[in-house]
Amino acid sequence: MTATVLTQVVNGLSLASILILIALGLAVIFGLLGVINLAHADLFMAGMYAVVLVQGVTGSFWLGVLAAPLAVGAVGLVVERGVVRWLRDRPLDTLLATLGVGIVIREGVKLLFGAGYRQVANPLPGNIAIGPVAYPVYRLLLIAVTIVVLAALAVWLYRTAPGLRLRAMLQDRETAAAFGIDPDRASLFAFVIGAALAGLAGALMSPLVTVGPDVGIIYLARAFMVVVVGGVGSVLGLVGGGVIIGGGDALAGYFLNPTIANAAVLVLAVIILRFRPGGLFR
Amino acid sequence: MSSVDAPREAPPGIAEASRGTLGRAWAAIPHIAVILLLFAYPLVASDYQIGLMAQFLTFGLLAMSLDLLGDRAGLVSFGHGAWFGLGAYALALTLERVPGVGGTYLGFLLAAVVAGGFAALLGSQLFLGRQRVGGVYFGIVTLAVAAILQLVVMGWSSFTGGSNGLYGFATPELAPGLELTGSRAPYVLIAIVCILIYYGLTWALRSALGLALLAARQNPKRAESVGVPIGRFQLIVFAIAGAIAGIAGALYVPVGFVSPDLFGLTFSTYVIVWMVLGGRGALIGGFVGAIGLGQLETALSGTFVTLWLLMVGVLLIVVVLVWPRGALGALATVTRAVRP
Repeated sequence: MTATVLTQVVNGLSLASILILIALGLAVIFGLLGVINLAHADLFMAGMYAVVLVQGVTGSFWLGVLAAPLAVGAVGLVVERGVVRWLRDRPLDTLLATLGVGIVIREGVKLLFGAGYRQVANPLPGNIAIGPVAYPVYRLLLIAVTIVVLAALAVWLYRTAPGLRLRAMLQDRETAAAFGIDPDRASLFAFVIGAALAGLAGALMSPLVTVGPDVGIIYLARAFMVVVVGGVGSVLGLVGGGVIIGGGDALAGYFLNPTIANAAVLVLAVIILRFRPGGLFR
Repeated sequence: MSSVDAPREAPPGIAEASRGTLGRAWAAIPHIAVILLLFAYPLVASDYQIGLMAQFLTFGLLAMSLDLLGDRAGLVSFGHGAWFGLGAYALALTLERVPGVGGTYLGFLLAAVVAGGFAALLGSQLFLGRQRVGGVYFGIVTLAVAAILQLVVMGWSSFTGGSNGLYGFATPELAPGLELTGSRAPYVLIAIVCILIYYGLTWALRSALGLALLAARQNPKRAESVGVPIGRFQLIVFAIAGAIAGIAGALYVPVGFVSPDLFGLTFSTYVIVWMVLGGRGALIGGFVGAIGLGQLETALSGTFVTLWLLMVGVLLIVVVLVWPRGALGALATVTRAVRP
């Protein structure tokens, strides 16, 4: 009995950390720029293909994990410069344009890699014993990585000069500009970081899923919910959202069939959003 | 945050009234021409082409309802296909239990009521509270709602047929002997319903309510301060748009497949693409986008199988960036140049 409970708790933590990792890039771009990036799922997917490519050439999974944020960050740079920047005063049009960007990335990947599925071998296939339960090493590593990345992000935002500039710009664009902050550069920076985080998440998730051009879409609705349920623009909110959605999924999945559990958690998220549109943790 | 930001001119009602008799006659010509073309099409096209065109018309009706929502309520739904799906499943599930003429009319009624009622229910929760859930949050909620419905349809397979979709239900029948089989009969019904709904809506939007909606959309704060109940208006528009989407879905049943894909993100993305590329803010744009892209895809995708969607994506970005009024905007520029 304690073993099953423990397994479910770790499952919930694992799922929560995965969802937080996936939602991170979305949260950075939404929180700092107010832009909902509908291409996020496809940037995430592109990160997986970066691993497929690099691993295919060099044979190393970890080199792929290094390359993915760089490659996807570069894509983000092009998207911000070419599309998002010009729609600053048209928030709904930004959604529509990033939807188009998502289509282009997805179809571009299909063109380059084919529509078929790929498998990325798990680099750490073993299990570790946690008390009476044996748990996959790689999933535990993901929990650790998520904590590290979250901490790094918090330090970057709250303890460094670029983070300060970004937060200043978020509060008041014009005043920040008057103090010598280049808002265009800060926006670009935030978008590239968000895209790179999407790429990193994709790379780290690639051994756990069947990699295909449509893989990102499965996570999109839940990633959005992680961002908005906790509250946009706070690291704590993101963690809270991840725990609620991921933990809720693991909990409901214990009692219901996985499809219905998935739906139930999204229903919960919509209800939370209806009563607390600003998120739970703010 | 709560506005669709396509640039636009004077509201159609006002523009129309300022024209003379000649101007009005000139303005009627394209309407008559389009209606004649719609009914002439089955005389010259093959059964296969008519079936495709019938599908495109239902998609156009769906895209039009999305445009109504965007233009008059400032809301963009990222899961609008779900309402189309609700309508399609309502008719198919009714026909499964009640075959024949009665089941057909009951099914169409249920399609409108279920889809419209679901929108009203969701809208009452989102728009009537102290803190309205609008703008981009509405987009996220509709995206999630579509995902929820798709999961339910997939998971509840004893009722919905699961991932296989529904088939084997009775053929819809408008009158004893008048079955909606093949492609011609459904096409004619779909064309008539599209025309009725389009003109009905155009008429309704010229009313005081329609203009108040426009005011609420263009400057929500000012409209609210002169007593326009924006939340209630958004609810009404959402319910109407949902009901129209449901009817479009029911019309799709005789010419397409009733499957969970209708609730998917891909289909809802298409609806947005049709609306944007056709041209926002004039109702007819959805039809222009759905029929134009549908026909182009049929003609070109043989040669550009892999490139087609890539081109659609690029087109979507370019149109949003440099030509927010879409194909209709381009057409309007041309006709204004040649109008007497």
